Amino acid sequence: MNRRGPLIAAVVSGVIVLLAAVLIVLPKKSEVGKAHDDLLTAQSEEATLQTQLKVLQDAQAAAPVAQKQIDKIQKQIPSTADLPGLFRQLRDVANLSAVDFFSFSPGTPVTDASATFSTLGSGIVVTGSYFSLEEFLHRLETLRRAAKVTSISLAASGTETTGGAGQLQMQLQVEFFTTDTSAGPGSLPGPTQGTAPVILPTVSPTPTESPSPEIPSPTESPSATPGA
Amino acid sequence: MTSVNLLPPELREQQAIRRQTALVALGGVAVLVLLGVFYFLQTGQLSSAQSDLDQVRTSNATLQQQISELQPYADLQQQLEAKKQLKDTLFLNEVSWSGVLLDVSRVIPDTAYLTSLTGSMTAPTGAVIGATGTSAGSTSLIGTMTFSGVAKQTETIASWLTTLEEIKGWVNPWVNSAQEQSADTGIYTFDSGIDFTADAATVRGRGGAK
Repeated sequence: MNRRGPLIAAVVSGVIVLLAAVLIVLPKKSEVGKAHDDLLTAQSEEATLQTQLKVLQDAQAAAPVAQKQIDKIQKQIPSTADLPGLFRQLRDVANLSAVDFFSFSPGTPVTDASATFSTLGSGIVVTGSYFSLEEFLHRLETLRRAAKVTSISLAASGTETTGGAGQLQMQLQVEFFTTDTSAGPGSLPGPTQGTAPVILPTVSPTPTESPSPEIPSPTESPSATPGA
Repeated sequence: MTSVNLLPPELREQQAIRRQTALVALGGVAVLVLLGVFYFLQTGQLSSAQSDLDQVRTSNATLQQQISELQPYADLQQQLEAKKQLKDTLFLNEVSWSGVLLDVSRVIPDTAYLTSLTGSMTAPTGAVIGATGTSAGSTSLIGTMTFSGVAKQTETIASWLTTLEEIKGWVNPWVNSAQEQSADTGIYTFDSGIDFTADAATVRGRGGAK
């Protein structure tokens, strides 16, 4: 054995150690690092999913209420023009307000620029006493079907000689709405709208409403009061 | 007693070199063993991390499935929000005309009566309720109303204008004309009007804002 034996042994040992470190240990260490990174990512994703699930569970808990609200709005803004229903509701309002239901002229539905709903601009003319007309308006504004009075004109209806003393005639321009974007004469029959109804997996069906017409009672003061 | 190595110096040198070589080789082996220990520790860590990762991934898959099952409820909420927004848009700046009639009956002076009343709403100018900073300001006008009537003395008309302005959301009371019906009667026919601000809108006309 020559004098370079230890040196050769050192070099060989070093090379073996280096090779072992580079080819075996370092890749394993890298794998561990990657696994830790993946774990952190997965844990972060888990937290996000948990939050998302919580929100959905809250939505599930609130689903019956949400469904009720949707049904209510659906009645206010139905998926078709539903003129027969509208006629009946207006007739009932007129009867309950003790006014003479004089005329109702529904206009052709006009689709909004946003293409999400159509507006039925309609003319209504009724006669009655001042407070009958006020009652009619209040019932119209709180109708199950959404109604927006855009203009009003009130004047005396008759004279003593015609037997109409104290009677007033009220002409209204009222907007009714439908989510049917193709409504009215010449349109596609049935509801036409972009969004399909949501089908829930577990929500129990909402109770069907009584077919008898019901006028909601006033729940809020509709106008500002003097000096308020 | 002194020990005497009788081996020749060449042999002794060879022995020393062999010892040194063995020591160096042993050192190399020791380092390799350390690397081996480190490797096994890393393997253990990797196994543990993989196990945790699998567990979390399984949990995530379950969560994902639950989320998929509950997705219709999110759609339902979105549908509700869309419908609410639509409703708010439709009723934007709505004036309660029944309330207007009631207010008129409350404020009209005893010495006056109206022969006609006409009111109309101004079409909304695209403001979207719910969007930040786009709610109609209380000074923007949302409608107008005109009256024709008969009053006893001009003081009645002045009083009528004053009381009109006291109603919340009613602004700009004015008189276009006031004409005495015949000389010295003190009976005046008049035309007047009023504008509505957003304060006169119904609760739903203000997007539900109180």
